[in-house]
Amino acid sequence: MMKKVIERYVHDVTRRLPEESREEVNKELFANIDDMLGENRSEESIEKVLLELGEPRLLATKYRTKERYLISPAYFDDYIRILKLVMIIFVSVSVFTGVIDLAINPISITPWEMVGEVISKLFGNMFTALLSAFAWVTVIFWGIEKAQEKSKRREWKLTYLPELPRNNSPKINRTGAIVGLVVEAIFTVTFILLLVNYLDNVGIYVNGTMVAPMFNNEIVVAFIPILILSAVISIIVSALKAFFAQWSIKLASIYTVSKILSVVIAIVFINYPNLFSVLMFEKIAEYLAISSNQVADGFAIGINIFSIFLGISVTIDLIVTWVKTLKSVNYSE
Amino acid sequence: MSDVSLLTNLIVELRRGTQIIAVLSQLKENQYGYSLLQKLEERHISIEAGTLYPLMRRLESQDVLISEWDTSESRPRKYYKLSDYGKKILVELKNEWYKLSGEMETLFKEEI
Repeated sequence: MMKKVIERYVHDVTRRLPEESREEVNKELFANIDDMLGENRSEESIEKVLLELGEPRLLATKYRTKERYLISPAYFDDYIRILKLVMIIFVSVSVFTGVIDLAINPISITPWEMVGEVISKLFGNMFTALLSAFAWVTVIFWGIEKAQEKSKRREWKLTYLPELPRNNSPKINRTGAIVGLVVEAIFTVTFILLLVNYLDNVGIYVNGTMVAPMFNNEIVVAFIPILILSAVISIIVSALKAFFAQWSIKLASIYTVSKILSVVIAIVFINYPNLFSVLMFEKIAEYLAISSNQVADGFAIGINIFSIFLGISVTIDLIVTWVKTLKSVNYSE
Repeated sequence: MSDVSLLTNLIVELRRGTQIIAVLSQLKENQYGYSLLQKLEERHISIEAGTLYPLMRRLESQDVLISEWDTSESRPRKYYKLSDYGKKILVELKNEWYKLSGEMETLFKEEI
């Protein structure tokens, strides 16, 4: 036998109601249930009556005098649109700052570890960014809603209508994409071939003989598989872009992942400790008549600026891509 | 959605607007929740208990109904009836009902 099932039912309804109406509804609901039961107080009869009254949650909403929303239907479309946009921006910025942060203060030792660390940090950042974007947009919309409740709705006028968009469906320029793909492929393949075959010959030459290598070659060699992987992914994605010639959520997601991956690898690579050979710094220092530390510092600053530049340009590229994508997706709906 | 449930939904939707006028029309005399429910049921007006009780409370908060507790009997009951304001509202709603019904009649005749 279910104990005190009526009491529990009534409590489950009234606990959802505002304080001031709780007692009255409680009393009334008990009386009503009592009347409905009549003389028959069997378990079946109680069950029948409570099922007839329905789920406590639903009954409680019927007792409320006004409807309550976090985001009302009138604002919901705007809310979703702004939420998407803010999420894109928050995620881009967090990814970008995460990459810069790790590039400047690396922790791990091997290239693979470092790439892994960067990627896990990026996912952490992305997650936090998504949550905070959601929280901010929701709170702000909720505030607008509250403010609207108090003041009267402003009269709607024809002048509030937005302008028509210029072109209906943003497309990827296919010729441009194909040319880009070819150029990218040629450059990447050449770069990797040079790296693989002529790495030992990259350095500073005086009168035709090499006096200092540019890199610490064992580090570059360790990076070669990662660089090849990154190049292959990037070429595949460019090919997909040229093939579909139209932004979709799927394509933009793939594009985003590949862009982030390649920029992470590039930034990790150029910021990798001891990438450049000490001997080269010394030779340059000798030539410029300054200390080799100064040369190393100069290099470090240059690399940082380059990393930041790279991060910003990718961030902007991704924001633009997503804005285009969402527009085209909305139009085709 | 199947045709049957669509039709059921449309009927429920159509009848929902008439619930209040039906309830008000039966409240010239004192009624408590369950007695009103039974009275409506006898007249083939189906309204769920879970809808009727909150509705009566809401109408009271809007000053359409007045209520008093009767604790003289073994079961305490809350009795509702129309307020003066509620009576005026009922008259207006009934007029509107006749008007609407006439308009519908005209619309349906034109169809033939």
